[in-house]
Amino acid sequence: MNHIRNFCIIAHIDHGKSTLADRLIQACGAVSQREFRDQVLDSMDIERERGITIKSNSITLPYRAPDGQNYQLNLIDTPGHVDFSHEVRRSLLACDGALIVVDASQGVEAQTVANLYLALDNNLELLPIINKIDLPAADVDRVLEEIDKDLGLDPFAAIPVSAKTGVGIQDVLKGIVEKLPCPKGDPAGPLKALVFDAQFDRYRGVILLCRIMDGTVKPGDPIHFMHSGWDYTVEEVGVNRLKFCPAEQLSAGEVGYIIAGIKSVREIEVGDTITQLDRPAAEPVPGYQKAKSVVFSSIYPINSDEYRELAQALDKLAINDASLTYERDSSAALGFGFRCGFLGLLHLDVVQERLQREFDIGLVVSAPSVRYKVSLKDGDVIEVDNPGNWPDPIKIAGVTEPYIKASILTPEEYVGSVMDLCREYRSASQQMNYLCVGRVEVVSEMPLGEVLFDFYGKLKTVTRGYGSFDYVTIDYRETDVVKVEILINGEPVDALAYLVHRDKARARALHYCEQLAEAIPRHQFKIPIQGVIGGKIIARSTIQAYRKDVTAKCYGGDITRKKKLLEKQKKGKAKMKQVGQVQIPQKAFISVLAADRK
Amino acid sequence: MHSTLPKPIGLYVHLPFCVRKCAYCDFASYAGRQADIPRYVDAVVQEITRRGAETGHPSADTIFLGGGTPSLLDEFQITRILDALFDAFPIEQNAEITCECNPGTLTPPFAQALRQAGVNRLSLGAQAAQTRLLRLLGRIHDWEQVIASVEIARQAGFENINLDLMFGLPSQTVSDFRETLAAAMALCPTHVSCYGLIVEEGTPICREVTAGKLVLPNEEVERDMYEFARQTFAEHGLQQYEISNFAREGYACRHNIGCWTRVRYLGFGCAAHSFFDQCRTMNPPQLDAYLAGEEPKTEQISKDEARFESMMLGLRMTRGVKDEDFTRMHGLSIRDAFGAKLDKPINAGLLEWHEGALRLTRLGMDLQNSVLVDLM
Repeated sequence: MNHIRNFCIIAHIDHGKSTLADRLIQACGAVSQREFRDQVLDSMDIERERGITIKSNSITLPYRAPDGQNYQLNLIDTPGHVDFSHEVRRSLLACDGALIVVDASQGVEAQTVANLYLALDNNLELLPIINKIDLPAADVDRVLEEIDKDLGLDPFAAIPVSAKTGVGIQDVLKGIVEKLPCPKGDPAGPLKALVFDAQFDRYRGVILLCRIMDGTVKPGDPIHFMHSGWDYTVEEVGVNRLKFCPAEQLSAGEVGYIIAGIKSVREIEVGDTITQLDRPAAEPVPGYQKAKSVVFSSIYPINSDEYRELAQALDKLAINDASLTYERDSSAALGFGFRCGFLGLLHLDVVQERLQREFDIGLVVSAPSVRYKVSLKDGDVIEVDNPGNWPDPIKIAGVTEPYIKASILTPEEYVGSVMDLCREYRSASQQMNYLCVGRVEVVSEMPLGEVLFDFYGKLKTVTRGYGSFDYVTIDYRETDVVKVEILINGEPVDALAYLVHRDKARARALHYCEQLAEAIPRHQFKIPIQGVIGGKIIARSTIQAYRKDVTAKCYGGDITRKKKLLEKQKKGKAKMKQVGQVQIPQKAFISVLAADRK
Repeated sequence: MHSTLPKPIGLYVHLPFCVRKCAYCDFASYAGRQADIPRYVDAVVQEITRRGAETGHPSADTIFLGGGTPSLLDEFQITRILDALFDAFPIEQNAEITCECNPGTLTPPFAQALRQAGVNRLSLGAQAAQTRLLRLLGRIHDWEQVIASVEIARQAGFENINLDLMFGLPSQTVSDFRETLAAAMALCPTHVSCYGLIVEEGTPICREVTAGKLVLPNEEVERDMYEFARQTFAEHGLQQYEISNFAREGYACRHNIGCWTRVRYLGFGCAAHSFFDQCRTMNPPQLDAYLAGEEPKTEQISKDEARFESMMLGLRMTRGVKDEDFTRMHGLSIRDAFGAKLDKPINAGLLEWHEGALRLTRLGMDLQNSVLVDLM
């Protein structure tokens, strides 16, 4: 066990985490040059394209130290985005140490700080790495000061590297062995293994990525999941060297995989603890939390005939994404679809993009919502995330909504704008922390439901791209939420209804009405579009009746072509959704909802 | 029964030559190909003779020489074509024989030759009274030449004169259009065709509009112009009988009415269409393909399609589609053919029954396409 190191890399997005991982993997010769590609640990196309990590992964690196000793370095790769901080937490549980990467030119960022706290919470030993020292804008001295002041770490321990050029990589490997602790655990004790992620393989079923805390596990062992209660028999164990390499057994301190004939990731909970069925551990690994959806949205196929394909695609995605929840939903305007739960907006984006890209299904996604807690006058408390289920306001005694604590890092000159922005997003309180000269952290408690509506995009605008944003959900607070319905020609269109704070209801309703008025083509009659709360109209726009839909000339030579044109007009009409007397093109739904999130 | 007696047919000859192609034109027309006129006339005369024999020399009561610019032909060429038509088809005594002319190309000898060859109706592409708008359309003439052409026509003995006018033109104002209408009315035409500009894809004007270099009047202004035209014409005794056509009593264009009532017609020349034996036929649209003797394309019209055509064409006329005529042609009544599809446009106030005919209302006149889509 003295020769094992389990560690992860903590970095702000773009600070070079994946590149550093790539270099460490190459330096240890874990992958042949032929097999190597950039961002080697990110296997999904969308991860590689966006340069983000969505799923955790692990790789075992053999390392021969300068003193001739052989080490097993287990690098656990974690997602970088706030949406996936749940996955980050799980992965940290599997580690004993962490490399904290700071960009030599940009310095410490909000997310670095947030993840640092997570790492400290998990009692990880930390090794600061200053990356991108090759850049002309690198300011190593300033970063060292930030490491000292903002992170509270020993600046003298920091290792300067350039993951791009490879400078300092051997120092990092040496540092991992020398500065990070070896795992603790009892190989002879009852099995206690933490599942920190799961992948689905078409041929082998679910592959569990585990950290063995105590005991050993080998093929043939009957195992028990301590939280879910399911029992399985181990088929194979091994370590991940980018390929799954079977081993005789895994024992305390090691990181590896277990295959146990599990058919879907739905059957297991990531974060669960595996123990031996006949010799169970006294208690599971602490820190288990169920992934919770915080953002909800309905997804409909653009073409109603594709409902079945959408259902199958979601099933397939969910096999590998335990945090995606979905249930059947139906809209009078858009037909059958699914109400889905996501970890955050990026998660929603990723799922939507994968559905469209990997399954080629055109989608309409309804306005995202948070989950409100509604106290009814009869004493019941219900949770509502779907405007369709919003109770009659007469029955409502009170509503609470989820709040987050946002940590925004910004250059000092934009503090005023950031504060204004927070207030615009119904921030309850703002606090300023001066991190170092020129950099301020704004800590703000605000409703998650507000942040969904492009807070991040606007933050980037007001800080000219320099602001960064991270959040944790904190609690539920009193709020005044109303359901706004959109009526088109007097008919409510369910897929356009949304839940919103009363103060924001009018502005958004107006936005909806205006967008729809632009996207819906003129009809033979005037079409009023109204935003309504209860029976009260709060916003309105009108699509004028078209005045002209006639061809000026139609003589002997025009007849054949004229018929074809009418045929085309008819087909175009058939592609639209009919709501009452009004034909609504799909692009109207998309434009309104897309513009809403932008 | 009358129904067994076939109506006299219509004859159309397409003459695709132009001095210059108009900016809005997506017709088969060619500038700078005048050298090919003699060959073309030969080919058309041959086609007329051949088709006359093939169709058994049906009698005709309308002839329409359209273009392009028929007045680019010389007197002998145009006379040869008309003679060929008279030879191949028995032409009724009181036949309506129209020739399109462009102002600036009509000469007194040509007008006289037309008259002598039997032409009794002239159609002049006047379009607009403002030289600015005419240039923008790519027209070569100005209004002075319109006045001169009308004078030449009258001198040659033409009494039935049509003026083509356009509205909804880029940069055209309502007062421009008033001026055009006043100038046109001053010439006392027996017939006016007044068209809202159609921006056809691929035309120079379409490119300029797409690029934002030309700005069209909005739908409201365009329809105001249309309404204003209707009223002006009515005040001058020109009754509307079709979406874009207005005439003095007795001067409605019989050739075009034939087309809207699905009377058979034969077309000659490149891009010319025919409707005969329940088939719609189109000659090769390219001049060279036509000269090379390429075969026309033929499409059989199904019963359903035929019924729809009756509506598509017949509803263009203010008198609408007589149920009696429809039943005679298709063997079932309009209600039997369209059933519940009629309800929506009728309830929307776009279609109405009037003295045994189904016709568009005034509002329906602006929205004919949507009515037709409902009937498909």
